[in-house]
Amino acid sequence: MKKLLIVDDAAFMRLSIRNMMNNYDIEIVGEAANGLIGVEMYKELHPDIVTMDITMPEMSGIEALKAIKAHDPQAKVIMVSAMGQEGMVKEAIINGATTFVVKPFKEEFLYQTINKVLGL
Amino acid sequence: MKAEYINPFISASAEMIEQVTGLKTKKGKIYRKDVPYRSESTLVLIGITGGFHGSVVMSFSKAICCKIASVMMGCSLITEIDEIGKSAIGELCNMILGYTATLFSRENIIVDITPPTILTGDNIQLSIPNTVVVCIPLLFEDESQIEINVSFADGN
Repeated sequence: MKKLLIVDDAAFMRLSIRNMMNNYDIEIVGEAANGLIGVEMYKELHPDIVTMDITMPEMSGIEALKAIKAHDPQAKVIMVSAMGQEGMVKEAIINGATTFVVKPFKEEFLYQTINKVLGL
Repeated sequence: MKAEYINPFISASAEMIEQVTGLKTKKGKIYRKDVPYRSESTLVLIGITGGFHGSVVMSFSKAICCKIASVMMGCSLITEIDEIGKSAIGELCNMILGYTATLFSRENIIVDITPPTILTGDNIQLSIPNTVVVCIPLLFEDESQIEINVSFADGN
């Protein structure tokens, strides 16, 4: 099973993504409530893929993305945000995000996106 | 108050509430609120920075809060809001403001939003100095409503 790390400050979103992926062959290896914890958990857990919110306290998703990519240039990070402006998407991609998903989203869409990013 | 600063909040709220919960809303009569003002039992506060500065306070009665949270969590109707329920309401407001920001960007107004702060209690009074508060009521089919209170810094 592929390992997923969820980084989102909203407990509801972390629970939703966990419940969505329970229906598929994806193992949730960790949940982080801000970017700072997310970076630490990435280094410790070595997930195959990360879903990363952008607007979070302590450390934003963009800053966490930069830190993860600095640690592991091969890291696969899907940005998951309610903010879908073109500038926000560009900033994420420039900083190494593999792709961008705008909330709200359907479970099938997220699963397909994860599979695509993992090349499955 | 320029209509182009209000319309994105109306469009994004109605569209996102329907998309996330399946509940249809219609716009009530928009009015300017005097400060301080009293509010419903659950409030979600989100700050706006960038193209203009302000904040949005979304105000929910306990009943509509429970209804929306129940739909979002995919459970039977709850009668009390727990921490996950509050998080669900906060996330809905985050999606509304995120989509509002996207609509503003299409008009070349670039704004950013802060993470939502969720407040619960009875008879909450809000004082937001040096702002103009515009209240957008959104009416549900069962006649319940939520209020979207948009506070613009003076000069916007």
